[in-house]
Amino acid sequence: MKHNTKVLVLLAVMMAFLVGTDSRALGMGKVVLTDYPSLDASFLSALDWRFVGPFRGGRVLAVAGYPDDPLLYYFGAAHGGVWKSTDAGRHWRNVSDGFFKFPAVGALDVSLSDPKVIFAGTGEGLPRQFISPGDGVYKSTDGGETWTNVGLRETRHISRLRIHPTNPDIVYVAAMGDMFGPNPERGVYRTTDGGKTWKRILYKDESTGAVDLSIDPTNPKVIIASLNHHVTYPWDEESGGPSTGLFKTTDGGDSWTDITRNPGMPEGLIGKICVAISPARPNRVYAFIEADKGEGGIYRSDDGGSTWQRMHQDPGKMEIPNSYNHITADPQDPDVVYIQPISGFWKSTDGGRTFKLQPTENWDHHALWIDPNDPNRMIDGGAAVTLNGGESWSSLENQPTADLLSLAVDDQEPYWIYASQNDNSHIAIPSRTDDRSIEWVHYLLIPAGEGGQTAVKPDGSVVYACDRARMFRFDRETGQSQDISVWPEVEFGTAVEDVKYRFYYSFPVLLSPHDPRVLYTAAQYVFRSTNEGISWDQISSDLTRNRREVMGSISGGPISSNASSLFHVSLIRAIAESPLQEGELWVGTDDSTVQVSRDGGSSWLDVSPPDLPEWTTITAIEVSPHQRGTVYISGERHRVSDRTPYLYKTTDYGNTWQRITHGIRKNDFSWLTSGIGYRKWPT
Amino acid sequence: MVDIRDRVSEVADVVIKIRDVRGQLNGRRAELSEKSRVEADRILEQLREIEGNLTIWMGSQAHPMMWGPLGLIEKLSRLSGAVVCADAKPTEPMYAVFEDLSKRFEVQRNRLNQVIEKEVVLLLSY
Repeated sequence: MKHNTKVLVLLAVMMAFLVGTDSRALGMGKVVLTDYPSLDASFLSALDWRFVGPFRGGRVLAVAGYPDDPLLYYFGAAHGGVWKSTDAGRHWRNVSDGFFKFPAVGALDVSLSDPKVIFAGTGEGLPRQFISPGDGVYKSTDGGETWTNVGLRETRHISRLRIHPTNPDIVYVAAMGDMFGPNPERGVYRTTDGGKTWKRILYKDESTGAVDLSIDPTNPKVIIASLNHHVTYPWDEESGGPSTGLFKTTDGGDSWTDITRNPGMPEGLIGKICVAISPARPNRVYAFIEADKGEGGIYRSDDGGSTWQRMHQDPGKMEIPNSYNHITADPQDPDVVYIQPISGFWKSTDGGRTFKLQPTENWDHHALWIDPNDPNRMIDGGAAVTLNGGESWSSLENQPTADLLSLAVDDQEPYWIYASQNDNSHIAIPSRTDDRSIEWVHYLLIPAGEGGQTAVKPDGSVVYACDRARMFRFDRETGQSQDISVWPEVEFGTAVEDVKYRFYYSFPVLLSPHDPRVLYTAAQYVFRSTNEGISWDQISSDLTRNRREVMGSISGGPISSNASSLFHVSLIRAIAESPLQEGELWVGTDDSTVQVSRDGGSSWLDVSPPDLPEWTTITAIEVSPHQRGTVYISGERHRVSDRTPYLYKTTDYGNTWQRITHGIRKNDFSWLTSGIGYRKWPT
Repeated sequence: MVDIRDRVSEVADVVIKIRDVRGQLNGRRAELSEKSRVEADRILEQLREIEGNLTIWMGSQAHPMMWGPLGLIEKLSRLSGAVVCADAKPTEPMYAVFEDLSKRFEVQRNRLNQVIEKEVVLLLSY
């Protein structure tokens, strides 16, 4: 409706420009490239954006502070740039907007010798299916107020960045590189001139990225770095291999010694390693190691990495190591070490033998900084600050960095906005209030988990909130949240070929624009419910290419499994119904397929653009509310290391398509959304 | 809910039975002939497979971090959680999943009974 326009207008306007040109339809199944007029910038500048929230901290992979200023902290949000606090986390202010081309921050460090010098590595450094890339390293010389890109633009994902403790011109960067395919921009890089030039100083191969770096503060020429073979595919994730290992330099990175197989280290296959040199006793090194044959765990060396012993082993702390398993040594007590596995934030006071779970604000921990002068001062990814050794932490509810996976609006006045937040839950917020601002007292938390799409009835009375493979019907009046999943069997850990319905982590949900009592959702099939999810009818056969050749084994490996619906493939990712014709349904899959039914799902026709490359995910479908047969689709292939935008238009129900990406740069992210209201619901 | 609870109990009873039989086989293993030991190992492998279908196995000795799929007992427990998450009648898919899991359980219970009746009893009778 009209509210869609308010919320989702920018891309719609861009699309209106893109599609408002001549089309030259060719024969059946053909695709033509079309030229378009350039976009009038003044058109976009007329759009006003108003910040509405929510203030709920999102994923944070990078944190930093400064020893001589107990109130000064920074964090880098996975999708929200760099934030600065000068009051120990009570308030946060974004300092990178306008400077960063890509707001995803993977690493951050403040110079110990000059607190005005800060370096940020962009691109999330922890592997996962939906992940934001960066464009290299940014530098600030005024405490974060302004930033300049200083190179390594093709590294895409930076997992760690360390500034030399006494010389802020020397910086080390651990680059994972493109995690979805081979590329040479992986490994450890060094600059000795403040970022003017970079040299790759540790490298194995195009599928091996750099995970972690630790510098001995008493002798900065000593550095230990870890590399890991890592590649993510649409259906799988590889972590670990012969190129994985731990490396030490004693000359500032000019030469490296492989210490992976030193006595006491695991003898079998090794995966991700995080490493921490104890500042309190630099010969002591801690390593959190993913390893096969039960050899994983917390390792410790007391002779600078020459020999090792495993101190701690707990399978519960070894799950999904690629997203976790961070380790940080206390700067003053060599026996104190912190780890951040999937199960929380743990502290050891006996040199890594035993660990005790610590109370925190955050529940997904990906970073930790400890003040070298006062270990009671810490900042944890989330981001939250403690001044008392973790007894209490600052709030997460003062930082608008939520990673939102969905967006929906209702027709209330004022209208409400609904979204799901990664690492958190669905949330609803009003678009405006009668108070001075939109705050937590106005928010509505919806008890459904982190991943998934959202649909809402026009009056906001019922929210359909999807969470991985599940769907919930949230009744606003009663507060009840009922599981209305198509198939409420938990299939975590199952090979995809054995999964009955291949729902994706953020599978689609759609309320019919003609009747809000009709609800659609999709796995490899399309389902329809006319009774609020109490029952579902399957209204299609498998509409995908059903690529069973990649579904046979549990995803993840060769050491750790990671079998979630993130790795379900050959499934429907987008669904739309024509606003002009009830029952005209369109779906797009993650394996390059577009199908249409013009009879409410009784029959389907494959109308895929013939030039869609393998594993193109159709991310969105917009059916024109003005012209029958006119449809726009967007596709993307980041999971196979292709950032090309795929945008198409048809005016004849998919018989022919025009590629409408002329003028869009190769690596620009593209999406379709409508700014034009077209629902025909009764008011 | 009561049906799910009772089914969970039934699955748990079968898991206990499997472990009991395994204990008996292992306890008598030393007394068995070489040929019977081979047979015992084969039975133990079948028992492990059945148990793996009933409850999750978290890795093997070779790959302890490679988790297998959830077993029927975990799936029933999760279904129970889904049913009670709201004050509402279970949805039709909940009934369907319960029926499906119950059928799968019957298959495993029958497999176990066959193994016990036709193979374990025979082996331990020597």
